[in-house]
Formats: sequence, C-alpha cells, structure tokens
Amino acid sequence: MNHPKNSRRAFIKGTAGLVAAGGVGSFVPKLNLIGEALAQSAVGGYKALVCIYLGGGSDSFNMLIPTGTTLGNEYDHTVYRTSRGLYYSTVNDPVTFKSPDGLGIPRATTANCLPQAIALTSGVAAGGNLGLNPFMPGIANLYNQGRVAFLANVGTLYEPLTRATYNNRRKPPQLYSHNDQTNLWQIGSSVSSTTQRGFGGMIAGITANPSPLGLSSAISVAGSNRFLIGRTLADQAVFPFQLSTSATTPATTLSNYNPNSSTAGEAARRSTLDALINETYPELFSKEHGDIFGRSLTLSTNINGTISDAVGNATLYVPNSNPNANIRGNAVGNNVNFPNTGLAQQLRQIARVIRVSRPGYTPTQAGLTPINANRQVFYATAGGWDTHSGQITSISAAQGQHLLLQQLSEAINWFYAELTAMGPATAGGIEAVDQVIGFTQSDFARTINGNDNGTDHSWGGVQLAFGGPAAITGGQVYGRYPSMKLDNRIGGTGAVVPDRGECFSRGQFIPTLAVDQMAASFARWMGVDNSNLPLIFPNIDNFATGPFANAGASPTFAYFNRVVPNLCTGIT
Amino acid sequence: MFERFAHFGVRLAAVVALAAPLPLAAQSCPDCVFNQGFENEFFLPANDAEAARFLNQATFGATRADIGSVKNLGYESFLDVQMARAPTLERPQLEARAATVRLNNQTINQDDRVHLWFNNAVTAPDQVRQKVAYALSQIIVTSDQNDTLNGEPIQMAEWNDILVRNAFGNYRDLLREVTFSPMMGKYLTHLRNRKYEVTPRCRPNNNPTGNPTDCNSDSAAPFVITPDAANNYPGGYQVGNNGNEPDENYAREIMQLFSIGLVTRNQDFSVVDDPGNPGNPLPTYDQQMIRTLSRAFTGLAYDCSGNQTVQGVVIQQNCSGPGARNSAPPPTPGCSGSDCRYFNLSTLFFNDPPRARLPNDSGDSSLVHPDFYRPLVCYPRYNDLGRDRKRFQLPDQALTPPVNTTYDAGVAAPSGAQGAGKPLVLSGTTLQTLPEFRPGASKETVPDCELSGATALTGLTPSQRLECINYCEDNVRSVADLLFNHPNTAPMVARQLILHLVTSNPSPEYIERVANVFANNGAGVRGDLKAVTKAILLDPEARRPFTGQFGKPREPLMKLVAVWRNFNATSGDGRRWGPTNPQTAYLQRPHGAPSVFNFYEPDYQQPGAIATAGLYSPEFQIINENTIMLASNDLFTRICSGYGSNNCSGAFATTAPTDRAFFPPAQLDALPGMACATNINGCSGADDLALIEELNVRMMGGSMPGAVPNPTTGSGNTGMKGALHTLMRQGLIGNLGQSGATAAVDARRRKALYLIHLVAISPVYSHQR
Repeated sequence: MNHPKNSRRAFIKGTAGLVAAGGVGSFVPKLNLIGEALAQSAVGGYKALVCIYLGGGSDSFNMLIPTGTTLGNEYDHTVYRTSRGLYYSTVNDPVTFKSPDGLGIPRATTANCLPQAIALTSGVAAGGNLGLNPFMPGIANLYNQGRVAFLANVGTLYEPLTRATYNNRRKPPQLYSHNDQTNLWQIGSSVSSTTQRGFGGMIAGITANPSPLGLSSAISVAGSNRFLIGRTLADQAVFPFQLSTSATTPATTLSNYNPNSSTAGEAARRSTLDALINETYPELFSKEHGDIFGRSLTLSTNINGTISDAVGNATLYVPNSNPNANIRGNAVGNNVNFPNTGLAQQLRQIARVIRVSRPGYTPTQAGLTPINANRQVFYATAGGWDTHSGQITSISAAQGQHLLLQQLSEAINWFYAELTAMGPATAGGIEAVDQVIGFTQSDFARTINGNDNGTDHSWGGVQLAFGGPAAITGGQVYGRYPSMKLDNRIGGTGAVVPDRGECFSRGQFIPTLAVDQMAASFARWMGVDNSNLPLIFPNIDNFATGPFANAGASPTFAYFNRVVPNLCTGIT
Repeated sequence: MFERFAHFGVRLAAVVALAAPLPLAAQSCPDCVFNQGFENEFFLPANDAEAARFLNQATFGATRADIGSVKNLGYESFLDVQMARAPTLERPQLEARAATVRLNNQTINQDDRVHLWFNNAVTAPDQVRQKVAYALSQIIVTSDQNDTLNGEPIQMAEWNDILVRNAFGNYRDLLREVTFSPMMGKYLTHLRNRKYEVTPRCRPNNNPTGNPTDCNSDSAAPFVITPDAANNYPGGYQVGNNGNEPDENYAREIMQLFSIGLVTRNQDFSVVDDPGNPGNPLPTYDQQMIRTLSRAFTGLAYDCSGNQTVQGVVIQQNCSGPGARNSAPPPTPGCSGSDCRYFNLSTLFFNDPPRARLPNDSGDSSLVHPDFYRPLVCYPRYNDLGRDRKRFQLPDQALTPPVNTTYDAGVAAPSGAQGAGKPLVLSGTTLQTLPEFRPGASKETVPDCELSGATALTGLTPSQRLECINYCEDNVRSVADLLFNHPNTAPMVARQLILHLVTSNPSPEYIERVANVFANNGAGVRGDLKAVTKAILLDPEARRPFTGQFGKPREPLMKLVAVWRNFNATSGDGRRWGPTNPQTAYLQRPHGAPSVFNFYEPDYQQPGAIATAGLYSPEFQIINENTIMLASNDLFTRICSGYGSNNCSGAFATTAPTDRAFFPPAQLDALPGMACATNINGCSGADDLALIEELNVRMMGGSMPGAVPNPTTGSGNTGMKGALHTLMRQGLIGNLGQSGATAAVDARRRKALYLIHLVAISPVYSHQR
C-alpha cells in the first residue's frame, strides 16, 4: 500500500526512461545531479510555442473527414457514412427510414444535409481522399498553402499497442477520463496522470534564458494548467505567469493601494500590505499566496505599460481591443477580420506578448524593462467540446461542434495573419510566422458511433499544427488516418483494417502516433537537445527503439522515431 | 433494495461490511494522543477565537452571536441545534419572486437566483446545513453555465435545494435523487437517453443468435431485411435508431466523481496496488463497465403529472391525449397516470413540461410546471432491459450464467422472487443489479415493454405496465445503491468533505475515522451525513490547535461571503447582494462551475514548494497573478459599498444602497475599539488593538500572528498584528477631508473597513487555518 498524498512525485530516476512510481521513500536524484552530460547550452534568437487546448474531447474525425471513393481503403467515405449513422439530415432517409440524427458530413452536395467537406489539395489528403469540415475554410486554405499540418490518430500511449496486445502491454492510466487524459496530453507522457509537470513548462525551463524583467517564459492566458509547469536543468521550478486578455490591463493591477497615492492613508496601507506579503511564512499556503501577490505587484505595472503602450500603435501593429481595428488596410497589416471569440481574444493577447517580447523590442514608455525573451511557451484554451448531446443541430448554421470548429478555424486564421503582419522583430530578421508553432490538443477524440446526436469519449484522434515555412512543414497529414470501419457491436469480432488503425466497438481508435512523439517534435524545434528529450518524455524510446517500436506486425506505425519526422521544419 | 458487490472474487454483501462497528473511541489512532476519544477540552472552546475557528469551518463565517452560542453549548450541541433547524430553501422563494414579477409581465433569471444564494449563505439560520450543501455542490456538480440550464433559474434553485435537503440526510438518498434529477439529466445528458435498439430479424420466437437461416424454417414468413454487410451486423439482428448507443456521460461521472473514483482505495484513502500490474493503482472500473452501466440510465424523461398550481397560478398540462403537453385535453382521454408513458409516448418523452404564460400572453413567464424539477420517470419503450426488444437476451447478456442474488430485508424485487440478474462485470468485479422480470419466466411470458400507443394498453395488463416501469426505475436506484455501497465511496466522500470544510491535507487516520463513520454511523446506518459532518468537525485533528501545514487555501469567493457574515452585512433592498457574475473576479459562482470537475480539483498541487512538499492545494488552481488582483479589487468595492458611491472614497452614506449589500454603520460602530471615535480624546492604541483583535477572532479564528506588547507606545510590535497596529497608530488616515460632527465617526468606520480589506487580502487570512 502506498500513500500518494504523502508521496513525492519525483520525475526522473537516473538515466532516461525510468520513472519513479512515486511511493513513499522513492526520493530520487534531483535533476541537477544527473550530470553535465545532459546540460545544454543556451539558445538564441526567439521562438514560441502556442498550445490551444480543446477542453472536453474534440470529435476530430468530423474535422478531417474521409471523402474517398475507393471502396475498402481508409479514405472510404461510405464506411465513414455508415459508421456515423448516416448523414445528419433534416429529413428521414427515404430508403432506410432512419431518423435524421446521424453524424455524417457529406463529400458531395446532398439535399437536406450539411454542406460538403472542403476539398484539400495537398499531401495524402489530395485527390479527394480527405476533406475538411465545411465550417473550417480558413484552416483548409492554410493547409492547402502548406501552413497547417494534421496529425492523424494521435493519442496517449505508453508503448505501441494493438487490440491483440491490449491486455498484455502497458497502457496509459485512466483512458477516457477527462481530467486524467487532459493531464497526459499536457504532460506529454503517459507514465502517470499525476505527474506534476507539463512538456510546455519543461521546454521553457530547458530552453529559455532568464528574462531581464523576471517574467516567466511560460505564459497562460487561460488560467492554471499542467502544460506550463516545468523545471529548469538546474532544478528551478518553472510556473506560468497568468495574463488576462485585456489590452489595457493584461496583468491586473491592484486598486486602492497605490504607493504614490495622494489619498490619505493609501500609501501607508500599501506599505503595510507589502510588509505582509514580503514576510517569509513557513506555512506554505500563506507563503504561496504572498508570492503570487508579490509577483503580480512587481510585474503587472511593467507588463501593462509594455503592452498597452504598444497596443494600437500604428507602426507596431499590435492589435487593440477594437474588433475591427486590426483591418489596417495596408499591405503589412492583418486583413483578416478579428473573430472576437474567447479563443481569438486569447490568441490576440499572445500575439501582443510576442510582439513586445522578442529581442530587439524596446518599450516605448520610458523606464520600462524590456521583456527580451529568447523562448516563450503559451497556453490558450477553448471549452465546450464534450459533445455528449447536441453535437449537430443545424444543416446550415454553425451550432454545436460546428460552431466550435468554426471558432477554432477563424481564430487560428486570424492569428496566423497577425503573425504574418507582425514580421521580423528588427529589419531583416526572422519573420514572426517562422518563430511560432501553434498546435491543438484535446482530451481524446469521440466515439464514431453516436448516442442520439452526441458522442462519447474515445481515444486517438486528429490534431493540427501551424506555422511558417521555417516552423512547420504543412500541407501534410502525418501519421495514419485510420479506416472508419467499426467492430460490429453485437458480441462479434468484426474485421478491422489492422495496418490502418484498430478501434474498439464504438470506434475508439488505438492511437498509431503518440502524444510524446508530437510533443517531442516541438521540443526539438524549440531547441531541446536530443539527449535531453527523455527528461521531458521518459517513454519516448518506447516508440523509437523499444521492443514494440518496430515489430513488423500490424499495425505498422507511420513513424518510428522519437519525433514525427519533418513535421517541424528541419527536425528529422 | 438489493445490491451485491463481489470484490476480487470474494462476495461482500454490503450490509455485512457494515457490521460490528468499532466504537469511535476504540478506533486506531496510533500516533495520536487523543486515542481514548475526545477529551473534554475538545467539547468546549477555550475562548472566542477557538469558537470562531470552528465556526469558520462549519459555517460561512463566525458572527458574534454564533461565537456566544458555541461557547455556551459546546461544539457538538451547537451542531445538534443547527442540524435540527429547518432547511432554508431557494426554490419556493424564487418561485414567489417569479410570480411577483410575472404580474408585471416580467421574468427572472440566474441573477435573481445568485442574489438569493448569497442571501441564504450570509443570513440563513441553518448555517451548517447551507455550508455542507455548498461543499456537496462542489462534489456533485451541475452548473448554470451549461446552455440547457442557463435559462432555468427555477431548476437551478431546486438543484440547490436537493443538496440543502439532503445535506443532513443520507448519501444514498442524495445519490438517488441527483440521478433522477432533471437538472443532472440535462447537465450530464442522460435526460432522454435511449437504449441501443436491436431487433431480431426473424419472428419473435426464433432465436436470433442461431443460424439466420432458421428464419426460413419458421412457420410464418420471416421479416424481409436487406443485409447490412457494410455494418457487419450479425445476420439475426437489425439495428434501429441509427445504431446509436446509450450516452455514457452520466455512467462515467457518477462513478468517477460522485461515488467510487477511479482507483481502489483503502478506508484511509491510500491506493490499493494492482496485483496484476504492480506499482500501479488498481482501477475500479474500465470502459466496458461504463458502457454496461450506461444501459441502466436509459428511458428517463420528464414526468407528466397533469395540471398543477404554482404560487396561485394554474399551469395546465395535458398528459392523456396526443398533441402538445400544454394543449387542452381531448374530450375522451386516451390514458391516465403512468399509462400515458406508453400511450402518449412520443409527446411525453420528447417534450418539456409547460410553463405559465405571462398575463399579456407575450411569452412564457419564469414559473415552470413542477415536472420540470421533479424526479425524472421511466418510459419503458426506451429503457434497456438487458434484452432485445423482442424478449431475447442479448448475446453478451446470455453468455453470463445466472447468479443467485439476495435482497435487503423488506425489499421486494419486481415480481417478488429471486432469479437471474443483470450483471455488470468488469475487471473481475461483478456488480449485480436487479434481476430480470419474474425470474424463471420464459421469453414468451415476459411483458413486451417495447409496446407503445394503443397497442400497449391492449397488449399489456395494467400490472405488466407497472412492472415494466418499476423494473426500469428500480434498476436505476439499484445502480446508485451499488455505487453507494462500494467500499470506495466512504473514503472518497469523507476526504472531499474534509477538504471543503477543514483541511486540504487530512492525515490518513483522519480520513479513515470519517470514512468509518460514513460506513456506519454507530447505529448500523451507512451514509449518514449528519454523523459524517459531526465526525469531520469534531475530529481531534480539526479541533486541535493549528500547526504546520494544516488548513486550506481560502476559496476566493468565500472571502467575500465570510466577511459579509463576520460583520453582519445586509442587503440594501433585502433581496440583492450585488455580484451576479462573481466568476469574473473570483473564478467561482454558486452552482456555476465551468465543468463537472468543479472550479478546482481535489488533487491539484500548486507547483513549487507546495508540490515539492507533497501537499494538495485545490483552491490554488484558481488563484493566480491575474485573479488575485481581480478578487482583491472586487472585495474592496464590496466592503466599502455604500449608497451611491463607496464609503471608502467619499462621505459615509446615511442611506442603504438599493441594489447591493453593505455594512450598516451600526454594525461597524458596535465593534470593539469603535466607540472611542466620539471621545474628545480620540482613540487610543488600546482601542486600535481591540479592533484588530476582533478581526483576528472573527475573520481568522485567532490565527493572526504577531504581538502588540505595548499598545500605548506601539513599541515592540511584531508580525501581522504588530504591522496592523503600527499602521493604525501611525499611517492609517480615515478622514477624507470631512468636517463636522460625523467626521471622526466616519473616519473610524472607514479605518475599520480598510482594516477588514487589508486582512482579507493578507497571506495569512488567505490560508484558512
């Protein structure tokens, strides 16, 4: 019996790949004792990683849709249509008399149904194999231009797995559970869902230089998350600084305690507050509260000044809060309408922070310390993806999941255009789009089989990544898009297409690409040395050199490597 | 109701597990000096501060009156008095409000409910009940942030009342009631959940699991069905309803969050190792279990109870004939009572109950038919009986050999006999729900619960119609009972309630003591929340003086509620309290969490020193650089709230604000250290200390560190107490340039407000010790 509440979750034991299970007494060497061999030199320039977390589990096989006409392969649209309970339609099917609550999206114009999937013209998707959800034209354009890549059937894995080996190999803990799977995606490894760190924070810890301002290189515009918690190679904790989406007060300041106030007693109250905050409390809950308060007091004025001065500045192209003001009507401006959704507001704040954080940027207001970051990792989120009901409720309006997909597409499309408009930090420098990779994550995909206009939790799904030519090699679908052929649901063991991904009875796909591989690709691009990858991803070699990595049996995996080869430009 | 739980192949009747309780005093507490039971000194608080500390755990905030009660009665008797108080409920109050504004052709919304919630939290006499209900609302979560609940303030008020009514009832009843609650049905989407529909392709009396060609040997012509090769269905079946399967949402969360949790635990909450996978916790269930359990939560939809009068308004409802629920009844009713669930199936199952119209008929009022919030009922046509719609066992059911079952005393199974049950098997654990109908009945003799319309009334006898309904509803109750009786539920619920009331890091022994009381209240009853609440609040670990890392981060929104209650705030107009969107500043909203995982999770560990120390700190999940400032600023506005502007930046108002709460000046004037404002000599250092000490007691239960050895000179001041005293003596000016008779009094009041706010945002207060 162990007592996890008392246990210390040390995260690495000795060399790569072995992780302490966390029982009492499993104290292990701290990271800084591991040895110089793993230390890496500081990296220069500027790069940023933007995680867009889709909370609740996105039904991503309705985002990237099989539209193929060849019967029997993985792109066979008729199999997809059947497995999804036919098309969503406003009328009963005259042939089958089935009710109109199927979840399918047509590949061609079909009366009383949703618009057809948007054709994709690049990579394996080309030739009518895969289409994009009709509510995502912006992403379709970016993909066709090579700026968006899809990762198919990616999910949490401990090691390569098939249905046949399901009961014999190690699996991620607590499959299908929202909070656990969210944690695993954000940790980037499926060892334990209680690991107290995320790959974003770890990448920041390993690659970021200390900011002169003292601003964390891990920044959340969407509250607490596991993703941005990390450590440096010197075993210093990395935790996110949390910003609002406001243009004027991105970091909320404290009112009524102005140290320079002329209001009677206000300055005195502030100095007493400072004394209370700065006191060293042995009680950790008090100490932590004081630390957060103090950090906010110290940084908020500088951050607010740096960002708000730049916002709306015509030469800086920092977007302000006017939904229309970003249409600047010139060649370098962002001509995409700001969608003004919650996600878009988060991405806009991230764009502002990037604009004022890169080396070479000097705050316009005197007396402010530049942020001058070499690496930043951001976290944004959009909720509502847990579509157990009401997944599709209209054949024309963006509602249910389609509203979410539309908002995702519009937000990314705007953000990419904004980065394009932002350009280099200094003349002749590297373009912003080439300094930023954005990507989506979600708890899991959803059952292909429906539950009356909703779907339930499943496993592997489709995610996307975007960036400029020097960041993402887009226009490609990485990994294997699985066949939508379901196991039959009545006690049988119906045929599946093993080398194209296997699923359980309602269409819960066993991933053929691990979260670890996807995340490690970003880590390498950000500058984490190959030798340091196991610090972040202790299971990474299960997919590269482990006994099941290249078994030669079905399913064959698309990529046998620590990373997804070529997903990130220059990372093989 | 019967339930059976077999664990690792060992049968454990739940009632047996409850037997032979240890007397509380004899429970093991090896490293604890209180192992002979509660010492006398823990029955009575030694001083005001100890009483206040108890009250800040047990209620929404210590008041002078309650401090006196606790000192007079002792802890346990105070709780007895509290527990005997009638529940203060929201829904009737909100319905009265809805009826009032309806007369002006207006409606209410969630703002009205949130005002009412604050009103009850701060002023309701059944404080402990309200506090426990609030804790439960963070364990069993529904939320008005959900699209389907946002426009339904009456439903959300009744949700609150379910928790308030059951806070000192039994967890079993609570689990059942939330399962049948329409609000939960909407939130976790088991409302109108339908079974997986499968029909044998052959005639009813043929076995569809056999060779499909048997169809041809049947005496009558077989159904003509086009083979569905693409879907790979076995030849004997046809699948209906697009092949949709039951929604798994509620089945998952009732296990993960409301009862047993993800992994097997000992009674002290420690994890049981998986013998098949050493070093890893033993899971309590897997996906197959969820899928099987989801079949039980099918067929539930709104009741149809006919016309009802709410607040004097008759809300008509037609259950008996085809057409809309709110249409006039047809001349000749086609059904009555629960028979309408067969006869008028499609209308009743798929439609909402009616609402009272506005008097000018311009739309619906906010008054809803009580069926909107009363328990859901079963429509057998859509309930999964564990067999297909033509009376055959589904193959995966038929493969399981029948299991003998036993019953709780006094519980009659449908048709009254034992027999083969409907097993839920997972990970070697068999959970057994109610047996099939009339065990031993043949497939030809069981009623066809699938029937609907006029055929149902002719094809089924009245008792058969009831049998189908009872089977379904008993089965849902039975599933709730299975989870309630699972050994895990005791430590899961015990720990969560401790986390919300007392400390984020209870010792395993503390959890075990409370879990044991959950398992048996001393009189053989499992799930007695009165006993559990007492066990939590009277435990030696909760009552002994603060030390180390005990306690919890204070919930941001509860700072506001506590301060209001500590100093007797009141609503300016007797109804409204102000914050209708508290989630903006505090990331918290009563019955308004962002997801079923609440505002924060019990296992959250703040990175840095807290995580390194292995401590849990749930509330820190919503406390960050941004929200800490938003909350501080909002607190200032509300503490200073006065008529028109605020009392901290302008003249002290003599009139109550109309739309929000405030501290009546008389309440401030009554605090120790305030009367001096009218003295010709002003206030002394001793007066300042008296005020600080009162804040220390009421707000902090005496946990304010520091000392003021010489209040007159202020020399030797230390810690927080000293810092506040020095501020009061030397720097805190309350006079905003006012003059005249009230200037000194106003300035003193303003100083009190400044001081309350400073304490409320201080690091020490932010840690409920």
